[in-house]
Amino acid sequence: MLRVEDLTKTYQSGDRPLTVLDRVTFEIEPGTSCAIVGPSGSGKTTLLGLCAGLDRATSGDVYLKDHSLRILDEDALAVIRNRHIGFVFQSFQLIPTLTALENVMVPMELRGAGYEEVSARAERLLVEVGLAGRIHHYPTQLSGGEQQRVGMARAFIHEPDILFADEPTGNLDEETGSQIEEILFDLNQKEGTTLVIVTHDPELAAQCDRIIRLKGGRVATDSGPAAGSAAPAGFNRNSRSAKKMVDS
Amino acid sequence: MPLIPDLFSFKTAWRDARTQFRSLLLYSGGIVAGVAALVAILSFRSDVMLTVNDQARELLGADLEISLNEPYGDSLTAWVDSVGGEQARSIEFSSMVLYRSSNSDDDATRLSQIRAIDGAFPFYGEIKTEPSGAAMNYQEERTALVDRPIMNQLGLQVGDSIRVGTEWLEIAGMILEVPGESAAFSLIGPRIIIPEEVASGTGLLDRGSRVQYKTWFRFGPDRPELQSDEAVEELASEARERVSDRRLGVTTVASRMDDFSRIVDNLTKFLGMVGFIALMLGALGVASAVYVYIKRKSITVATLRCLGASSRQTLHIFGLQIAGLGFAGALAGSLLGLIIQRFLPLLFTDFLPFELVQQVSVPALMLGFLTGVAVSFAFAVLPLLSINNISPLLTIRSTDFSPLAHVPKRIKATVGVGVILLLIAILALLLESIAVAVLFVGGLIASILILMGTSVLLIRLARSMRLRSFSYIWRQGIANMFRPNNQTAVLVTTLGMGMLLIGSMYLSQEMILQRIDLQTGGNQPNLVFYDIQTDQREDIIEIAESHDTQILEQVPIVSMRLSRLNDRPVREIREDTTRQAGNWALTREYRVSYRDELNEAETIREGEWIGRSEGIGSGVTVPVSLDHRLADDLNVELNDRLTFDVQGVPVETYVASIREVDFQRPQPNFFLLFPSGVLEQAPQFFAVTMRSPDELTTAQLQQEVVQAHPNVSAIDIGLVLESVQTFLDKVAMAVQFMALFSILTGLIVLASAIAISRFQRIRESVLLRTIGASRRQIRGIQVVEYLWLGTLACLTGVLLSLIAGWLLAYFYFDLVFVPDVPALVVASLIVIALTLAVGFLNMRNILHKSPLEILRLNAE
Ligand SMILES: Nc1ncnc2c1ncn2[C@@H]1O[C@H](COP(=O)(O)OP(=O)(O)O)[C@@H](O)[C@H]1O
Ligand SMILES: [Mg+2]
Repeated sequence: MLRVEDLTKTYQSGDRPLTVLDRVTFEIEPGTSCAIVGPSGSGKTTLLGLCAGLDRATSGDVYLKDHSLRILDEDALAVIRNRHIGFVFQSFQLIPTLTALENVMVPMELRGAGYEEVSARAERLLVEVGLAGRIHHYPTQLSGGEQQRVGMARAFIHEPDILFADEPTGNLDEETGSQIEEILFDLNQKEGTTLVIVTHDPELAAQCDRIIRLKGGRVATDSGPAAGSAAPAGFNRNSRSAKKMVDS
Repeated sequence: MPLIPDLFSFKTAWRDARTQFRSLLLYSGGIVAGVAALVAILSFRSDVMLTVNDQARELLGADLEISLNEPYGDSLTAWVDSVGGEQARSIEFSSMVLYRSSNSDDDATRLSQIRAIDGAFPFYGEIKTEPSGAAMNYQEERTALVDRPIMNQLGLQVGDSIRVGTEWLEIAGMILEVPGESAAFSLIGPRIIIPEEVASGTGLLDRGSRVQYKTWFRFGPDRPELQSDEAVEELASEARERVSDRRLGVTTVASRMDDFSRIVDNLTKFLGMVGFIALMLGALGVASAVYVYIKRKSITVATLRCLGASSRQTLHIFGLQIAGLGFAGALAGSLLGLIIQRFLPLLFTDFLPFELVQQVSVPALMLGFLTGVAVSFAFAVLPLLSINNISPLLTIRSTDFSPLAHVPKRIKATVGVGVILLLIAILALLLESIAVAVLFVGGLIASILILMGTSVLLIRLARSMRLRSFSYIWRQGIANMFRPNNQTAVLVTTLGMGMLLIGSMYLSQEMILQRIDLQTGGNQPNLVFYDIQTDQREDIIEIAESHDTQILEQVPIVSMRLSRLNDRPVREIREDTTRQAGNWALTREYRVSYRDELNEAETIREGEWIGRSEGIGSGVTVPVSLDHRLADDLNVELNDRLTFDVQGVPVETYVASIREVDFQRPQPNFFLLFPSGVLEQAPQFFAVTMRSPDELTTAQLQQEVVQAHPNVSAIDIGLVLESVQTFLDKVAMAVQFMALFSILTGLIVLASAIAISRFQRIRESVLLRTIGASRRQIRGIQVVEYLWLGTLACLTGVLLSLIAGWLLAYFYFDLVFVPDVPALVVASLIVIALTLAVGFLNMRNILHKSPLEILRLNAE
């Protein structure tokens, strides 16, 4: 699904080059979940940005579903993102002038889908994340947790193959955060999406099939590629869903 | 089709705009005033042209007019008789007229424009009088029609009398309107209409006055062959051939219309340019608003990119919005322009010879509208293009995005050149001249750059001032001008340009007056008598001296015509199609003086001034001096030979020197100057310049001279000055009215800048209130901010207009520049007050919002 080969990113800061990522290599299997952890400044966000084709590497390459991102131009990358990638952001990044529903619909509408065909699915997703009554609200009328729920509905609407999340709970309190985590894993399981989460929340990381730990721009430890859909992780997720049902 | 936005772009552009229509409209407001000015001026022009077309014949009052500055010879008389049609004649000249009012004991005299008419002129339109119909009978009744302004001024009534030359006439009516003449004609001198036969009895015609003999023709249905413009034009050239040697003025309906259209065209083009400045400033404001808008939208753009929108789509989304904005702004401006069009003629009532027919001109509307759309969009292109450089990375890494920093230099340069070319193209279309368009755009860009530079300098200065001793409110207010994303420089530039325009207009008007004033002050003449015959000279000087009036100069004037140029007869030269000399210079009647010395208005450019020569008949070639313009017109150089016909006597001369003459001085000056010793015995008349001690003396002196010598004319420089002032006031008012649109633009751009920074401002004020600032303090901070903004703008504008004024004074008017500072200060205070008012109007809601409500607002 995602293959990272010798990925290096160097910033020119002042007159000295600053190597933020240093020959990072790993591969993530379809349908698995992977946490990227590490201290602040270790290059997690940089790595995520490169994997999702938001930025260009200094050397090395990223293969997403066997497409080399290095050779694609900006607009081809946009097409890749729209077809295969979902995003959940730390600061939600809802478009403030669109309602919850319209925010969720954007990825599908970008593909040229009509309002009718998308709105039903978007509404269903919003209900699923617990926003049944707030479909036509604007982002400013929603709390942080609610905004992130909209963000997740948006991330899943176009059934992406891979979902990137950069500290999705970083701006939320613990309780809201764990609700969001729950929904994230729940949807992930239902849709069979590959999940890449950057986090420094050890609990969240522990729920993933695999943990890659960065330090100073290098892979410090890697719990190794997990098999297809690893039993323990699957079990984990199921138990969470069960717990959610009990809660509600 | 990459250029056509897809459905998604349309949808998103609409959805995104939906919640912020009001502020979006305000961003585009900058162009409203400029478009309104253009539409109003273009519509006005179209109205005038329409009326001119409609009333073309009334403009001339006839189908054909010929005029000559001497009585018609046999050949011309025969031609006039042969042409037939309906005819009317007039003799027109300036002369002193004595006005005797029954209400007052004192008579008054004024140099007036006499039209002595015989026949049913005007054939088209009518001379409007009060009582109406007076124009029907004055010829039989031997009465006079007198201009309204002079009648009002002197308190004259119908039934009072005037004296023209030696003839007394009763005033039968007050002239309200003469076909083809605007009210401004009266500024030259009161218009008097009398029967033609009276003129010959006045004794004025044969005594040196400049007289025009006119004939008007009307070709009715009995002359079917003369119903087309072409036929009349052909007839006109026939007339010109008849009087080959003389200056025959021929005016047809078409040529009068052309002349008039050209004047209106020039006027409206000039005013249009002033309006265009407002449009450019507005577009600059829109560009600055778009810049800040894009900057604020950068996260949204980045998010859309993350979700898979292509750079083309994001560009289209905001491009559509900006285009929509330009559209809305131009539309609003066009509608406003239509309203202004209704009132614009008020500014020109005195200059229009007819009542204006008004209607909506679709071409004018479209031209103004499209210009607005094009200019606003052109200015927005660069900030818009920076959308392509917004990286999706912004979603995960919050950094400040400054739009223009990422646009490659090459694109910036290309867009810049493109915009300039577009502006030139639009202007060339409006002005029908590429050269003027290039100059104007160049000048405008230069002045905007200078304004911007000055404003940036002033802003830096204000910022660098260490204001520790100031109260908190002052320091915070000043700091507020420099909040991130501020548009202070653009605001100062737009408002400052308005001030600059109004300031420099005002100063140059002042200087023209000051200049004339200067020439009449001190020991300069304030009264000039001319057309004095040799036998009248002694008497007039005696009268003047008895009134304590100082005689300054007695200038002899001899009239002559050019007969040969370097031994070639003028007649032959005129027939030569390859000739370089102008017709006017070849055929005019020269009024020539002779002296030993040059006066202070004259400087020699080439050659040498020779002050004495031998008399006529001595066989000596006379050394004369030509004004450089005349030398150019005749295409002659030093030592070229000119033969003049001095009332029948040929005089051989050569060009001994070429002078530069300042004709703005009140003393008589001459294109052609003879040395003394040559013309003393020729038939001549005199002009006498004098300085009277006061206005009363000036009036009495004129009256006494006119009583004794009705043919002598007087120019009262004080009255001339008044006329010039009235005229300048009227012209300046029109120009300043157009300049007001720049101020208006500045204020609208200010409103839009406040709207853009609204959220920031709300957050600041809430923050301050949370820490315990009172509403009064917050209001105080705002007052300080707008006060400074207005002050900086006015300072920039006034400073530059003073510099412009000084340059003008030094290089053009040759004056010591003493600006009217109080007037500029008053204008500045008004602009500052307006700035404050606009600021408050846009901020009034903020103070009433509860902090809680505000904290929930997002950065939209
Ligand atoms: N544009 C940039 N220029 C220079 N240095 C950068 C830039 N972006 C990020 N960095 C540096 O790269 C390092 C890694 O950043 P980041 O990937 O955000 O780390 P993390 O997400 O793990 O906290 C940091 O030291 C940061 O200062
Ligand atoms: Mg990070």
